[in-house]
Amino acid sequence: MSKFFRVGLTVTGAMAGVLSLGTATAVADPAPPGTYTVHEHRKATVNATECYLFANPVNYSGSTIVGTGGWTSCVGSPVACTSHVTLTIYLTPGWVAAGNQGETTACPPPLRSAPSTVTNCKIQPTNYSYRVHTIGSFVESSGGATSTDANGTTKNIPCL
Amino acid sequence: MVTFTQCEQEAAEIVRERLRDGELRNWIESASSTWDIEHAVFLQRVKTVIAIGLFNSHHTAEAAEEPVPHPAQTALDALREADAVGLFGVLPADLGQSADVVKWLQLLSTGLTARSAIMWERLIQSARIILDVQLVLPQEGQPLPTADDPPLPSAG
Repeated sequence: MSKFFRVGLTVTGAMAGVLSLGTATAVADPAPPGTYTVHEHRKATVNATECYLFANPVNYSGSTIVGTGGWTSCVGSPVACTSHVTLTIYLTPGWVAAGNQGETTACPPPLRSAPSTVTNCKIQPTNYSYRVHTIGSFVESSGGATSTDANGTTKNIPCL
Repeated sequence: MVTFTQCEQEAAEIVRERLRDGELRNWIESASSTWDIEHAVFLQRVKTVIAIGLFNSHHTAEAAEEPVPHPAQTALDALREADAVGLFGVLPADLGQSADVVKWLQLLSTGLTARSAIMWERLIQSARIILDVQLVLPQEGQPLPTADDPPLPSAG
């Protein structure tokens, strides 16, 4: 199994206690506090059909930040699939959309991927955390539908 | 009791003094250009954020009945450490001609939408950069100042 099929890795932040007390600061520190979950690939199942949604790690070059996500593969034959990909930034107290929204409207195979991009960011003296959030849904042949979401790994980037 | 208008004048003086540094001036100009915000408007908003930081530092000092030795440094501390609710919470009811701008900034700071959260972060980060006299600004095209992979917190 590929390393990308890491499902449901739950990471508990050392700052979780601080966050729960409601004393989060206005500063965007690199590592977001609290508990968050990485689903680089996440399975969604309805009846006998199952599909894998993915959210890739973030890429950064110059003043451009790109994240990709979508549907990887399916077992069975879904009749309709969509996915929405958003590059998000952590600004206390949570994750907000930073990039435009990418979208796929076809089912795998082949793998269906769309990008979400921040095209103009300015280099900063401090890091900001970015990650990809993908939401996907599909319908199988008997009309059953399901949806899921996936969060890519967090990358700290000195650009805002 | 320091008024908000006095803090705005103090902020304008700090910004005027700090922007004599050509490197900092270029950074602010290129930042507003990169973010596609009119430079004069952006700088005016940043001054108001600095004034809010200054008012907070004066307010804290008055409560402790101690003078503020370095207003810019204490304003920087306030903008780094205080949450947005606290920053705006101590402001007086009478904000003079800046009432609408401060109200707009307070709305931004709540992060109601992704766009407003990012705009607030850009404004407050620029205010911190202006106030931080020790800061070495990162240069475009230079190697990244820090490792780009986050230190993941330990499980449990």
